[in-house]
Amino acid sequence: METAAQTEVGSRQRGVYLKVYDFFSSVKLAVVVFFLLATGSILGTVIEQGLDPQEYIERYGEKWYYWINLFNLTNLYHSWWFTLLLALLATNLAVCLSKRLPSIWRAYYVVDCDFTHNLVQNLKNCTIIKFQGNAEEAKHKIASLLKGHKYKLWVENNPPENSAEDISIFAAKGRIGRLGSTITHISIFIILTGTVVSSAIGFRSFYPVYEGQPLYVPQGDFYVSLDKFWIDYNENGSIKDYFSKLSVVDHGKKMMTKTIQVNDPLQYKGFWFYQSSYGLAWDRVDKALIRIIDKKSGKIVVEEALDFRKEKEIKGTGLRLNVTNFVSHFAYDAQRKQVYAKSPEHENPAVQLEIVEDGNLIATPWLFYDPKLHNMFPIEKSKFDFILADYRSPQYSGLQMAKDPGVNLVWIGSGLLMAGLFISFFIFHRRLWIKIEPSEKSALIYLGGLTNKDSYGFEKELKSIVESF
Amino acid sequence: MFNSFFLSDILLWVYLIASCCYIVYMALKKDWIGHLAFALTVLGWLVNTAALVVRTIETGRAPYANLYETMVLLSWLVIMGYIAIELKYSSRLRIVGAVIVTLAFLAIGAAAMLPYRYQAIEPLIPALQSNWLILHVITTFVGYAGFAIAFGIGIMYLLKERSEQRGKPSFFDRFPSSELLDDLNYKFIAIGFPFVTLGIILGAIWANYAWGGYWSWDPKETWSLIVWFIYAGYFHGRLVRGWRGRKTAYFSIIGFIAVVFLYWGVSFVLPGLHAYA
Repeated sequence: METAAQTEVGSRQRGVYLKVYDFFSSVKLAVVVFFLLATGSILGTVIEQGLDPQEYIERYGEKWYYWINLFNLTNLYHSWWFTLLLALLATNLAVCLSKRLPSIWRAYYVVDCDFTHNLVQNLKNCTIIKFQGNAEEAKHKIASLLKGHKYKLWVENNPPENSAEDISIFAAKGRIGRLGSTITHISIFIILTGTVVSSAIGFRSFYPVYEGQPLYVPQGDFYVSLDKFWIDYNENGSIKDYFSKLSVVDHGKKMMTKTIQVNDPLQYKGFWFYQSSYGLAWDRVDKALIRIIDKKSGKIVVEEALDFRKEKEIKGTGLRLNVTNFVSHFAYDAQRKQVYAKSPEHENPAVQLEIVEDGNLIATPWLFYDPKLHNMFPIEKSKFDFILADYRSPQYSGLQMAKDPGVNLVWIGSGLLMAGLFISFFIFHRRLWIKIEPSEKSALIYLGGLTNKDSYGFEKELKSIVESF
Repeated sequence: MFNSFFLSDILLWVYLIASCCYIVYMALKKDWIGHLAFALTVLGWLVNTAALVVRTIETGRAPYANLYETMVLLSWLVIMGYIAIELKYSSRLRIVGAVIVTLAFLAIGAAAMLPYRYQAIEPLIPALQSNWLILHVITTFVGYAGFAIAFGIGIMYLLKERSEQRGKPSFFDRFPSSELLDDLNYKFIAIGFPFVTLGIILGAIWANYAWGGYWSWDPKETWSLIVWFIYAGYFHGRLVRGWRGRKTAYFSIIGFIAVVFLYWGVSFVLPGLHAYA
């Protein structure tokens, strides 16, 4: 009784196991996952990715934003469900492959010389030829003919007790074509693995780099300095190309120097530095020209060009001034009580000025470059008004830094993918079964075959073989 | 006067007349009209070749850096594919030209109607100044051309299948048998798919070299993946589940609609890194 119950449980378990196995190995699942991935991807191109929440609420409304947020549609390609679909694809791939591999291997490997003429006659393309000559001659004729068509032959003279002295020939070519789909699927698996490695340990970051201010790379413990940045123009004034001359300094030693441009990055210790963009600094100035006006007379006392974050004494006024901050596009974060640059564009530039008058720090106002906003907040404690008359921002070279060990796996996978696709689409596994039965003075040839693809081309080839008799 | 725009205007007319000849050939079923249509197609292809060569000389670079130039390239490839069919199957499949040459005509026509800024000869922007441009664009467009031809043949299949089922003499009698069309449809997708795959891979290698990452989910990249999924679905249906005929014909049509969106739709509707073409 017990054993019966156990087997029942066992078979039920096996039943569940089989169901799961069947689910994961079905081609239907693959097609459904393709469909879902494609649909999801379309959604990701319709809903713009990676914007501020506020922007989505403005576009779609509060209610829709709830759903957008729930399904992570603002970062769709890295959302849990998209990742899940990709994982499902990988599982499907692996299970399907393991299921089909034995039969693929058999089709690839097996040489089948043990067959009857009935088998040949059952093949779709079977032809029976009456050959004028004996069986041996027929065999040689067929052998030379098939070799001309690049077939590989296996011949067996069957023993006499087997009715008549017939000859079996098995011929095949392009059997590597069978492995094409296997290679393709393995390659997709490798590419997916590569992308997992990329997102797990690879990184990409953007740095604005200024001449004379080396960039420290903590992940590699070395410095990259911008020796020079310049732009070349076309005759019509449009930009032709831009360049950054970079030097790598590792533990005080200059290791290399290279002028990079778009499409020509610098490589050091597995780190890549790309010329990505350039522009005017949004968080600093080289110089700011501050106009100081006497409140009583309304006359300009002096215009001073101040260096960034360098306190300067203004003679004859009792003032010490310091430009401590700059934003290119003034914005105020009420929650954090902080001024920040809303964008790198110089839409509404402003500097923060530290004013020390007669030894006391009296104010740190923001001064706007826009004339309409001049003297927005007059400083009551001071005898003077302060105006930002002009400024000069330094140009930065926008460098993209990346290190991604996953990339090599992706390239290996890509190479295999191309090989696999080529093999499976353009190399066809064609097999022929030929039986030669001797009769008086002549021989009967049964010839038939199978191909895994391109039956049209195969039929044409068979026809030309038959016609040669 | 002898510039690339002039040549593509001529080209438009040659393809138009050729495609009209094919339609007349279909209706009247006279062989000499078929010969004429094919001769005109070959002439068109030569003019198309000249248009590409002249453009290369004018720009001093590979002639496929904007939408207009790639359309001229695409029609060149599509007609070349058609001529290859003619050579391989002798004139048995000549009538396929009725659809394929019309497609090439539409391509050149659409290119001619583009706003001037998509046609003008501009110096290459820094991101495009790379040898990868040639490889990436050529492979991708060989793939597109394969899909375009498969699309045309898919439409022919649907028309032919319907008239076969009715069993009456019809306008489409000149079409090859539906079986042959089905086979041909598969063959061109089997050419298109590896090439588009290679185009995507070369694009990824280039992106990794120019932008510092092989995949950024930019709309063009994403849509190329969508197209890839559609055709991958097609192959699984056909090779594993044995789909034939109407189902695969519909697939080749849907797939090509996605290609058109990938090629034109993304450029005009969705902003991204591929904004130039």
